[in-house]
Amino acid sequence: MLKLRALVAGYGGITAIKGIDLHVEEGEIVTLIGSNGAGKSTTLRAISGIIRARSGAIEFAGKSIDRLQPHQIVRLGISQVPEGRGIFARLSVSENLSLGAFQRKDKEIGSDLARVTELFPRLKERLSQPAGTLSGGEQQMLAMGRALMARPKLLLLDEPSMGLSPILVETIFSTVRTIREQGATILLVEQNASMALEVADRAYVLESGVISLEGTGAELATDDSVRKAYLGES
Amino acid sequence: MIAPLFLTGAEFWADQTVNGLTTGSIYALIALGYTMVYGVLQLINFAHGEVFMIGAFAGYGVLVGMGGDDLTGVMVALAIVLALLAAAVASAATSVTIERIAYRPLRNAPRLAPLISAIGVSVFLSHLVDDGFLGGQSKFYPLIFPNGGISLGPLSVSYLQMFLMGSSLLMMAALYWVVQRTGAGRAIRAVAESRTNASLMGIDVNRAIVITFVLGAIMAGFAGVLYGLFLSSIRGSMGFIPGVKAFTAAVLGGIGSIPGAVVGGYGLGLAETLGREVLNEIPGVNLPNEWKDVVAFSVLVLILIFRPTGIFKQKETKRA
Ligand SMILES: Nc1ncnc2c1ncn2[C@@H]1O[C@H](COP(=O)(O)OP(=O)(O)OP(=O)(O)O)[C@@H](O)[C@H]1O
Ligand SMILES: [Mg+2]
Repeated sequence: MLKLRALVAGYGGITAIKGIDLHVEEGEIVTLIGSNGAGKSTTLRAISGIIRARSGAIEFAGKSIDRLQPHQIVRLGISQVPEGRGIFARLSVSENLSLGAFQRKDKEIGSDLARVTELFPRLKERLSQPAGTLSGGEQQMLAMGRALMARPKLLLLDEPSMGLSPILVETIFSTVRTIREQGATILLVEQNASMALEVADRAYVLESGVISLEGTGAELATDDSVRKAYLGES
Repeated sequence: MIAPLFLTGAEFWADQTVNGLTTGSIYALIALGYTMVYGVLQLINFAHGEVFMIGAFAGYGVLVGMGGDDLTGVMVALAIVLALLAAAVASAATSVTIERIAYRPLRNAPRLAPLISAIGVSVFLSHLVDDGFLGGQSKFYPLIFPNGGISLGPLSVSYLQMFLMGSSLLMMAALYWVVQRTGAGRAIRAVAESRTNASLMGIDVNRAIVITFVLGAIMAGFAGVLYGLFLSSIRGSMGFIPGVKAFTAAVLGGIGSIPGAVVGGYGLGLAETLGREVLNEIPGVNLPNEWKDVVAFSVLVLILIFRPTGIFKQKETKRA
């Protein structure tokens, strides 16, 4: 469904990712783990068109998307919940949710809204409140709920568990499963490697801009070097 | 202490208040364009005064084309409506062209670059009209608006003033509705918070920016015709002073804030009108009309010193 080939991208003089090959198949949850500054967010930004690929190719559903504008990529069915959640603080919770469906024209937006507020009941009680007044966890729920309002074929999640309490982390990961059951494919960037490897079908390890390891979630979870570097075991 | 100020009588002050609200309406309409463009681009669109001027000329063209001073009856109403429409279209077209040519190519340049570009466009347009087309002459709006008005106690308001204030309020209410209640308005507010995050919603950021310029320009073009109907004399450089004052009004209200631009516009209109008259109450002082400008720009300097964020402070948002 998504294919990166020898992808190179960066900022000004910095080359943050240096030739990445990665693929995500329909219905999969694939995770990308790696330490701070490895280039995980940069990879997602390149897929969404926020930064341009310097070389290499990005293909989605067989079509090259690396020359498209971000809003065109969203229209093809790729939504991203960016690092830091990207909610609009001055807009109300319900306005944030309807922006998720901005590029849709169908009649089912209302029923999707009902589905999202069912998934995150806390949002339902706060629909008319400015999104900036939500707690961190609620903002993360809003960001994920809003991405669902786009009915993405592929959902890119950048560290959805960051800064959340263990209970909320559980909620977020079970939501990731629910989203997949509802038919979306997921590319999940995480620092929380143990949780990520548990939900993921397949995983990639990114180190200083290159993929150093790949395999099934279970394989990487038992790999010695991964256990040392990312699962905090000695 | 206050009493001596009212020596001149209630009627006089009621008149001045109405005058202040009348000019305030025009400032508020123009200020909306400054504040909305600043909201999405953090750019002071210094050519906005010329967008207002173009609107005034487009309206003038329609009024004269339809018969000018010979217009009577319903034709006056029809001509004014068409003049307002033509002004909105001409101003919007001007503003979109300016955005495309002078600002968009500089989107990622240092912040000073688009500002200088804006000043360049402003000077170019006002001189193009003044020297290029009019040979330094002014044009005069036909005086077709029905005379007369109503009086209520000390308060008397002409029909023209009522039309000016009433139609301005309607336009502002319409703008508020567009910004708060439509998808395009939501997109504009999202882009104002973060261009990157807005693009991740599937919003075409350039389109949202163009719509912002169009909405601001419609308000300015409308104001241009009202100005012409009220003061009659128009010229290429007419946008400069109202432009800078509307900018002052936007800063007074808190630049980036839409309610702020409206409050700032009326506030500045009242302050400059009443301010001069209050000073004139001091024995031996008799300030000419131009002192309104002195009062208005003193307001600008004072806000910049004491409350640069204006009345309606905008929360800082992350730029991405
Ligand atoms: N806007 C930017 N301008 C310049 N350099 C940047 C920018 N964003 C990221 N970088 C650099 O690119 C490299 C990769 O950053 P990236 O954000 O992709 O890392 P990451 O793997 O997402 O890290 P983290 O887990 O901390 O979020 C880093 O060296 C970073 O300093
Ligand atoms: Mg990151």
